[in-house]
Amino acid sequence: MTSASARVTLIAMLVVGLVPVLLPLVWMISTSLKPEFDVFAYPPQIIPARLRPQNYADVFSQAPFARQYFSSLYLGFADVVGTAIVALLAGYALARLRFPGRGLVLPLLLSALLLPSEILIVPQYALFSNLGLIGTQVPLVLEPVFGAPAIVGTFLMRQFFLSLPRELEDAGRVDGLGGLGVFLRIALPLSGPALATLAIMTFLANWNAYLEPLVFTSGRPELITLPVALNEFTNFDGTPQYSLQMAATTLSILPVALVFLLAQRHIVAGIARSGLKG
Amino acid sequence: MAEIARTTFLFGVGFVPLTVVAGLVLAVALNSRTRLFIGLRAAYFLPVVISLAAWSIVWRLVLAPDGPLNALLQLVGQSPVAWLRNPALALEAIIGVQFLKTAGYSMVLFLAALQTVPSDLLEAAKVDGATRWQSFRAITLPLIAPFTLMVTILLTIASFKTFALIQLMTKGGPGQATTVLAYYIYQTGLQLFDMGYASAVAVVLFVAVLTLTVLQLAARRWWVFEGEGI
Repeated sequence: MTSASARVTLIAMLVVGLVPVLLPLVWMISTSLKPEFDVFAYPPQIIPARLRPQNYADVFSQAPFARQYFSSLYLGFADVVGTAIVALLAGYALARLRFPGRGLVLPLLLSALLLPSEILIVPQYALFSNLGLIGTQVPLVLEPVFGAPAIVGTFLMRQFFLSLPRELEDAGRVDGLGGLGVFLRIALPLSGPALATLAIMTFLANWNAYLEPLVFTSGRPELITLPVALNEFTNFDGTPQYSLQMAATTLSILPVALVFLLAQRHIVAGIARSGLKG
Repeated sequence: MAEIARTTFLFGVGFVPLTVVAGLVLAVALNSRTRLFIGLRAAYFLPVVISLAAWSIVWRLVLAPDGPLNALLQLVGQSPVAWLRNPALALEAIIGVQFLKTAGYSMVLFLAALQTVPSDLLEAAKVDGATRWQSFRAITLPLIAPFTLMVTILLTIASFKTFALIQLMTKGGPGQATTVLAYYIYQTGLQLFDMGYASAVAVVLFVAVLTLTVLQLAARRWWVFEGEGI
């Protein structure tokens, strides 16, 4: 086999491999535009025989979907801000400050990452329940900002601050800046790219979280976020209303897919980095 | 409880090796910076950024009794399959759905690993007449072994976290065929509110995660090329 035909074969195989990855998403969009009656029509219609774009309007009229969408947005931003503050301060402290027990802090924090959130959910529920916060959105900010996502963020920022040349900060000190001044005027402004990666990762994780919003909000429709809301479109007997579920799911994926296309390199690098070195 | 531990274990045994190997194969196949390949990488990676809830809900439709997958099977003359309602098949189906969601993640981790293999080593092997397969076996694979180990650990832990998929696609059923530990914790602790029992299950899961991690890290001693490590 010549190398050109080998290359064509390889590309053909890679494209075929994409079918089970992408076809379900095509089917999702197709179903979101069908009347419910046509969802299981045979033979299957990848291009809807009858179009029903009102599914997208129904999603908003049958459930507080706008509110749920907005919840996902503002909780995402709150988590980004909170996580960034914790990760910047803790990451800088672990990279630059000398204090007793410093060598212990990072291993302790990282070992906490071995605990999947699925293990912690019951004690966390008990904790938030004692605080009277179950059935509110408060735990959805507290948990990530003081939990595992912030630890990953702290580690990422620590690695970034370690990679900054010390000379920059020393120059600042010579010019009369104190510890806080060095952090605020020199280290912080340089952390833009690392911070951008952190922000994208945090927002994405939050946008996609399922277990925590399901449990902590007690499933109240006006409090849940998008991933939980998708399953709420059901008939009276609890069976899924597929066309509406697919319309809602399409709407929930859309911003993520767009941001992914625009910031693909940041996202891929961020996920690879926080995975491999975390 | 033993049954549930077994299901969790089977899920991991099905999911982890499949995803590690597929990620490695995809990374090696796509390890080139042409526009086409970067586009293909992005397409394989797309499910990773989509929420597991959305992915599960879409796949619940795809695997429905009258859903598009069975319709396709009927079009080519096969009889439809009860993917999620057959106790013998449901776990495999769930593994497949989780695999398609995660293969791109595994691929990206391996792509990062492949960038650490010095190209002059591969060049030298080529000059010495090694085939691609030989240099992959003798150079690439040993050099990326520490990364392979990390990917295996990450995916093992991820497999213990399987929750949304089960909750949205099978609710642990049929029977208890797809009840894995993470889902069992939710069921007993937060639906039946037997928090003591759920916490005991959680401790079991924690010990399992910890043991596997420690074992895999220990395996590093004789399995992994002692380079600079990661």
